[in-house]
Formats: sequence, structure tokens, C-alpha cells
Amino acid sequence: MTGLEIALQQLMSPIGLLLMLVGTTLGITVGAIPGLTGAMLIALSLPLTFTMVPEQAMILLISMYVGSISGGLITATLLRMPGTPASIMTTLDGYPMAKSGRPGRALGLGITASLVGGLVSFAFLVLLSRPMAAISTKLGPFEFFSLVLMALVLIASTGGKSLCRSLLSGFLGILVAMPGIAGSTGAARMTFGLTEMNDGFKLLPVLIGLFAISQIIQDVLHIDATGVRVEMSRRGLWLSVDDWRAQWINLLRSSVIGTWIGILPGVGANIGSVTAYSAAKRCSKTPEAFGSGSDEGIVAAESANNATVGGALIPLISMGIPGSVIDAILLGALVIHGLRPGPLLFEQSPSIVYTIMGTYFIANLAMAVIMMVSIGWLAKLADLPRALLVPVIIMFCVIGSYALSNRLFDVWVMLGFGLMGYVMERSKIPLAPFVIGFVLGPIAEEKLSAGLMSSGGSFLPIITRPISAVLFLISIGLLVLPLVRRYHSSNAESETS
Amino acid sequence: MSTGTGASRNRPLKIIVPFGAGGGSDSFVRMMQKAITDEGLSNRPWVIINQKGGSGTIGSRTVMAAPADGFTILNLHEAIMTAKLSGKVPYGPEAFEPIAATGRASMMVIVPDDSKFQSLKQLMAEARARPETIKFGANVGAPAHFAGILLERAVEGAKFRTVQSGGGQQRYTLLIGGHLDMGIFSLDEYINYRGGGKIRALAILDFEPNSAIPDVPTAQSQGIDVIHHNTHYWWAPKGTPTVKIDAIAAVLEKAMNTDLVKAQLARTHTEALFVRGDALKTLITERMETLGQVDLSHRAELPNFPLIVSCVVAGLLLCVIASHRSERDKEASRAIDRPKAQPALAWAVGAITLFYVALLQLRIVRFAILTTLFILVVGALLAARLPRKPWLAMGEVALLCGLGMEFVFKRVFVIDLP
Repeated sequence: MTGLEIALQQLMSPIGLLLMLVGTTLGITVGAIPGLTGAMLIALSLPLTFTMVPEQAMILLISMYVGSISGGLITATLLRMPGTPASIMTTLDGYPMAKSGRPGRALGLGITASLVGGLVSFAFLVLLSRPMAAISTKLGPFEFFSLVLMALVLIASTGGKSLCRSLLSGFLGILVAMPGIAGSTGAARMTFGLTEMNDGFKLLPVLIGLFAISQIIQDVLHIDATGVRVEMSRRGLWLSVDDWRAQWINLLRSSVIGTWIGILPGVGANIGSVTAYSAAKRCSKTPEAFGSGSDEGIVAAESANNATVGGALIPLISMGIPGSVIDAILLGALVIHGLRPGPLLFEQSPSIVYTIMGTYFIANLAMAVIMMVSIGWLAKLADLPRALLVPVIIMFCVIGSYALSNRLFDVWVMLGFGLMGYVMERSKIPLAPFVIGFVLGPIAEEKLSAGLMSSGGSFLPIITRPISAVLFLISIGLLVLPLVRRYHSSNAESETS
Repeated sequence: MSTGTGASRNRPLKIIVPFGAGGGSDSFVRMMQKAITDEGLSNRPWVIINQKGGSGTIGSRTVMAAPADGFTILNLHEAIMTAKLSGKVPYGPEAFEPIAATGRASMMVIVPDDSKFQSLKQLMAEARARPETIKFGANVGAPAHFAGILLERAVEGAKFRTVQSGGGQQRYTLLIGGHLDMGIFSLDEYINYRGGGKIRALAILDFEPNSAIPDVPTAQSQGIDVIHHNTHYWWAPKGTPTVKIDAIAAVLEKAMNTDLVKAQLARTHTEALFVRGDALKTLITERMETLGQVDLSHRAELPNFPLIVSCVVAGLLLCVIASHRSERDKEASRAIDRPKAQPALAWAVGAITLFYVALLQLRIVRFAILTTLFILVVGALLAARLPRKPWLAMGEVALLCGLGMEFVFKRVFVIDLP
């Protein structure tokens, strides 16, 4: 049986479709509830996939990914609280439009744009993954090191307000990934004499702690916070032919921007939607309407944030480099299931590649259908009593970290990183660079070590090999550019994280 | 522990494969697992866990530290010996109970298809004429690295430039990308990868050419006297009862005799060796002696990465603290209308959570009861601050979570809950 056949069989089997439905629905639900994020859901669901075949695991996780990015637009539109960070831009126009008596239209624009964004980036995913995988075998240890370096710098320079803080976060992530057995020498280090530390800190407890526990601390601290509520109505949910005619350029442009931003390693959905939103505003005939209920604003923000998902899957599949926090978790999931994302994935497990692509396509359709049908019910989700949610989520965090390898050490690690995540957020240190550093640090070290061994200890090939040199120069540029820009204008950058 | 007989019957036997999926070890173990499952040779599921890294030492450490109850075993070839001999870890075969040796693979010398070398003889001559120029990809301290050193020893004055290149898949990627000049692969790996037409075998390190690739000459026939095999061994933690070891060895022996495994071994041209008991112990001692004659100790001169990263973190931290001061002043002047925080509540929830985990660690109370109580207490604490008090729903959710999670995780996912 070919990989495509296996993938189709898995996707079309009752269990495959059920997993997709459950995954998408859970994703939308979690996305719609402020305080719960897709990263949290996927990290917590990962232990549940241990007993599944890898194809089924990917069906569930990718559907959750698609659902969670989309679900956020509901609360962003009706409550002015972005259900997920990716929907921040949607609040700018979605909420004013809903408030002015057109909530159905605001939601309809958002859902349709999400669908189109997903489908456009699906096309890129199918077209670009294989060529990119082929190119990436040309990359040697030094090129990979420079690429990883660029990814780290890229997320640091776009992730937050202060470059210094983002870099600190990224390097902290690298440092935290160091204990355990070093990939380059095989010797144990920084274990502080604890045998449990021989494996280092595992991705899952670290992520659950950073994202779920720190969010829970926030939620408990502000338990009585409520959003500003707009009554839901279904009127205007379906777009007219005129709408399509007016928006198609914007839809395509924003989707393509979202996809390309997604491909850049380390940059997530938030940046994608911010960029597409500003591009739409710049190209618009009515830029003054942006921020007070503009159709174009909603369409740009939502099509771009969904498109980043497909874009970010491209480097994940073809090179094993995660494009966002959730992709970092997916990378971990693939590894747990014994698969090594990278150029050989196409040759060794084509069924996984086709499953990921197929799931991404169907989950986008499923997402649009589920949201259109159940929008009224979804709008009520924000009313779920938090007093119930908080303890249940803590329990899931505990059991999820424990199930990884049946040891409570991981639970303590998880709680520790929860506190750390909270402290970091309070100090306005963004979390995303930390995760990317944590995942990419060991890869960078391994590649650099291999490179140094083949060059006899010389660092020169980083700048003498052309591809490596280009990537390295881009990294330096990305580091220097913000400093120059800050020097030239004292205007504060807009908050993006 | 409250593991009942029902759970223990379903409890899976975990096989730690200390390499990534797709390599020689992994495919071999997966094939054995399939035979055992399909033929119903064992009364419990056999689960494969890939735990790659450190040339197999991360996985071997896990099994060494695992309880000696016969539920966790290790599949590791001769890397278990070379890891000790190269000084990577302080323990070797003596730290485990050997279960069986199953299957022996020939090793091959591989170059990229566009390589200028047409024979091993040519390659070794070059390594001698210009030492340290041929980039030899190996997992430092692993059997393939060992094979490279044997080649160097066989030709006076020959020297490779050893490059740390990870497992089979990664080495293949580097080789076809032109980043390595040669590598050692098992016959199985070679057959897997050669389909791409991007690699070429120079020699087989066996007594005679293999019938699958009759045109690849042995190293001996090219005047280089190197014979190197790799044998798959199965290990249990030290102190595992002999009864359990014999039971697992019996299942493995039956699996080796199934048509599936026989056919697969023939297809991958792995010798269907099976050794257990005293003969196995002798085999291991002999191999340790042969391997021990070669000096494998190799320390790459690499920068001290932890130190560098620690320094950068410290520097950035200082930078952030410095800028934090000035920002705080700026923010204080701006009126912040965030809702009032509830630090006392957060501390209370945090303390209860710590208490909950500590109780789980002590394993005094059953998971279901403890979890139900935990959800009720935290829920009540939070609800007291909110206008809506969903007491009934809370009770239901607490019970559902406690009992439901215990059922789902213990019965469905077979996880050993307190």
C-alpha cells in the first residue's frame, strides 16, 4: 500500500473522522474560551495519543491546531476578549461591528476568512513541502546551525516589545534544554547529581507548566474579570456575492502573507495577522474605517492567522524545524511516535506526511461547518464558571505530565515551570522565544558540534559557506535592525504578543 | 501501589529502543513486535518506546534505573559495550541481565554515489596519503565508529576525520548532501537507503560477499583485514528474576522462528542468530574482550556550550533588570485600570495544588478520591469569590473527573496511577 492510500484509509475510517471531529470541536471550544489556548490543549492531549498509531495521533492534534486558531474569533468578536492570542487583531474590528448591531456579519466574515486562509495555505503546504525537503538535504551542519540561529533571532526580534527580554527568554530556553545527556558528546551534564535529570527536562512538562499553569495563575488572580458582552444574532452570517467580489483580493493577499509568515521559523499566528492587517489597511480605499468595524480588517486578520497554520507546517514536515509554539509540540509528538520530521519523512513515512496534509484540509472544512452550525452555542462558552474550569485544568496538567513516563518528577518540573512562566509574563518576558529556544537549542548545538568536528574546530565555515553566510547575515541584520529603528524613531512599537 | 491483577495482566511490556525510528534497531524490534502480536506469543502487549540520544545511553540508563520487575526491557546492540569502552558511561553489559541475542547484521562501508573512490582500497590509500581529510561520519563511541577505527588500524598510518553525525538516518542525510565522505551502515540500513540511488557500497565487513549484493566485495578481498558484525541483544534491569528473563527469552525464541521474522530476516539479510543462557554470557564476554583491545576513547574538542549560554543569560538578565527600572517609573505614571488581583487566592490554590501532588507522591490516598477532593476544595474556594455558585455542577464534575480519569488512564492507557 502506498503512503497516500494508508493516509486516505486512516482519514476516511470512522475512527479517523471521529478523531477529526472531536479534535476540531475541542480546538474551537478551547479557542473560544478566554484563558484556554490551543498550545495548552495540544500539550495536554499529547499523552492521550501515546496508544494511537501515529497517523491517528496526527489527525487529532492537527485538527485541534486548526480549531483552536479559529475558535478565538468568537470571543474576540462578542466579548472583546481574544479567545487565543492569534485573535487579538480581530477584536479591533470584530467587536465594534458586533456592537453596532451586526454580530452575525462580523462572525460570518471571520469564519469565511478563516476557511479561505486555511485552504490557501493548504495549497502552499502541498506544493512547497517536497521541494523544501529536497533542498534541505543540501544543508550541512553549518547551514542548519545558521538556519536555527536565524529562527531564534527572528522570534526574538518580532516576539515582543523589548529585544533584550525576548533574547533573554530564548537563551533561557536554550539553557533549560541543556541538562541531561549532551547530543554531541553523549556525556551527562548539569544533572546536579540527580538521576532523574539524566534525561533533562522533557518538552511536555515544561510546556504544560509554561502555558497552562501560568495561565491558571493569571485566571485565579483575576477570577472576577468579565468581558463586555454583545448579544448574538445569526443575521448576516453568510456572505453575499458582493462581499466575495469586494473581498477576494484582500482574502488572497492576507492568506498568502499569513502562509509566508507561518513558514518563517519561530513566528506564529499573531505576527501573521498583524502583518496582514497592516497590509490590508495600507492597500484599503477606506483605511480610516479600520478599528471601527471594517470588513477588510476582520477578513485580513482571520484569513492570515489561519493561513499561518499551514505555512508553519511546511518547515516542520520538510526540515523538522517548528514554525510556532504549537508546531514545537507537534514536533515533540512526532518524535514520541518514533518519527523524525525532516527530509527523510517523505521517503520513510509518506503516510504521515499525507495524513498531516489531508487532516489540515478536511479540518479546515470541518471547522467552518462546525462554527457556522453551532455559533450560538459557542458564544455561551465564555459563561462557563471558572470556578469549575480551574481545578479541572490543574488536574489535567498533573495527570498529563505524570502519564509521560509514570513519574512524579515530571509533575514537579511542570509546577516549577508554571511558576517560572508566570514570573516571566509578569516581567513582560515573552514565553514564545523560550519554547523555540528550548526546542531549537539542542538542534543548534548538535549541528554546530558536527560542523566543528568536520572543520577541525574552525568557526569560519559559518561565514565562508554561501548559504550559511546569507542566513547568518540575516540573523545579524534582524538583531541590529530594531536597534537602528529605535534609534531613529522614539515611537513605541505596537504591542504584538 | 494499588495495581490490581486485572491491570497487571494488561500491563504492557515496554521495550526501550534507544534510537530514533527508521534505523536498523527500530525496524528489527518493530518486526519482532509484529510477530509477537500477530501470533499471540505473549499474553501482554509489547510496546515500543523510542528513546534516542547519546548513542543509546539515554535509553540504556532508563532501563538500568527501571524496576527489575520484567516489565521494562532494552534492545541494544553492541553500543552497550562500546559506550562503556569509549568512556561515555561508566556501565556496560555487567549492569544488566542479558536476555537473548537475536540476529546479527553485516556492516558496510558506504560513500556517496558521486564519490571519487571506487574501492575501499583506494579510500584507505587516500586516508593514508592525506590523513584527516576524509570525513568519516559516525556516532562517536558507537559500533559504526568502532568499525572505522578498525579500518584505520588495518592500514598503517591511515586516519579519518571523525564527524559526530548521529544515527543512521541523519548520517544518510549528511552523506547524500555531500557533507560526509564516507560512513559505516548496517546491511539493512544500506538496503533501505540505496533505493534513492544516491549511495554506493565499497565493501562489506564480513567473511564473504552477501547474496543480496554479490557485487560488493569484502574488505578482506581488498586486502584490508576487517570483520565487523553488529548483534542485537535484549537486556533487562539487573536483578530481574530469572523466571521472568526465561519467559521473555522464550517469547523471543518463538518470535525468531515465526515465518514473518524468518522471511524478514532473509529479506534484510540478517543472520538468524539466536543465543540465550550461558552461551549468551560467553558470547558477551568474548565480544567485550575483542572490542576492549581497541582504544576507543575519543573526546572532541568542543566549546563549553553550557558555560557560554549561562554567561549570555546572565548578561541579558542584567540588561533587562537595568531597563526594568526606568520602565516601571514610566508605567507608574500611567493610570492602570486592570481589575484588582487576588494574590491571597492564588497562593491558596497554589498551596493546595502542592499538597495534592505531594500526597500523590506519597501514594497514601487513591488517585480517584484525592482528585475528587482536590477539585471540590479548589472549586469551592474560587466559587466563594464569584457571584454564581454552581455547587451541584461542581460536585458532578469533581466525581466525574476523579473516577473518569482513573478509569481512562488506568484501564484504557495502562498508566500506573498512584
